[in-house]
Amino acid sequence: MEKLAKGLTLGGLSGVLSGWLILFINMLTGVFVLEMSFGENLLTFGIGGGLFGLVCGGLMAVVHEKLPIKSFPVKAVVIFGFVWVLFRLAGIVLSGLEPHRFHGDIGQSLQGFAFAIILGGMFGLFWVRGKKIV
Amino acid sequence: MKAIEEIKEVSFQNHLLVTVVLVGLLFAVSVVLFGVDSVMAGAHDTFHDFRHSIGMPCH
Ligand SMILES: [Zn+2]
Repeated sequence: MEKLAKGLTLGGLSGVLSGWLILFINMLTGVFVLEMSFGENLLTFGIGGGLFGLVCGGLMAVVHEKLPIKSFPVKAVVIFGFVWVLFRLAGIVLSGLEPHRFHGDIGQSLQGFAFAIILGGMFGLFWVRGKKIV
Repeated sequence: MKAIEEIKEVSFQNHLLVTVVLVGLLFAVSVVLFGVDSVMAGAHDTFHDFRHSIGMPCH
């Protein structure tokens, strides 16, 4: 239970930070032309990133001891990347079901995968470094 | 023996709680990532920029 609390806390925290980071990265890359105001996006990217981080952090707390990888940050990068890929695959299924409404974009996908990798790395470092904090 | 039963009981409750928390979060993040308006009115529009920025397929 303590591990779950730690996973959720650090997952939520790194998720919010990564959400904001990807907002700035997207403003730089222009991969998607943002439609909402900066203030609104600070909120939605924070919430969205935070939720994504909570799910992955919670999952990490449960599975990390079973993974055959030594380094914790590497484990986190693998799991966070894996979860992103799962959602992306589910998205492809949706695209198949409703081709008018859903379609993918390679630039956005690459940026999204980078988001998951950055988030996983951040979470992993927080977990290792933050032993005394949480 | 009774102590062991109690430990098992607590362990089961913990597992159940962990599962409920994770499934709940999974559901919430799916609503955001796929913009499921039928669950949360406005989910598609509210998280539209975020969804595209992290590469989830959209219109
Ligand atoms: Zn869209």
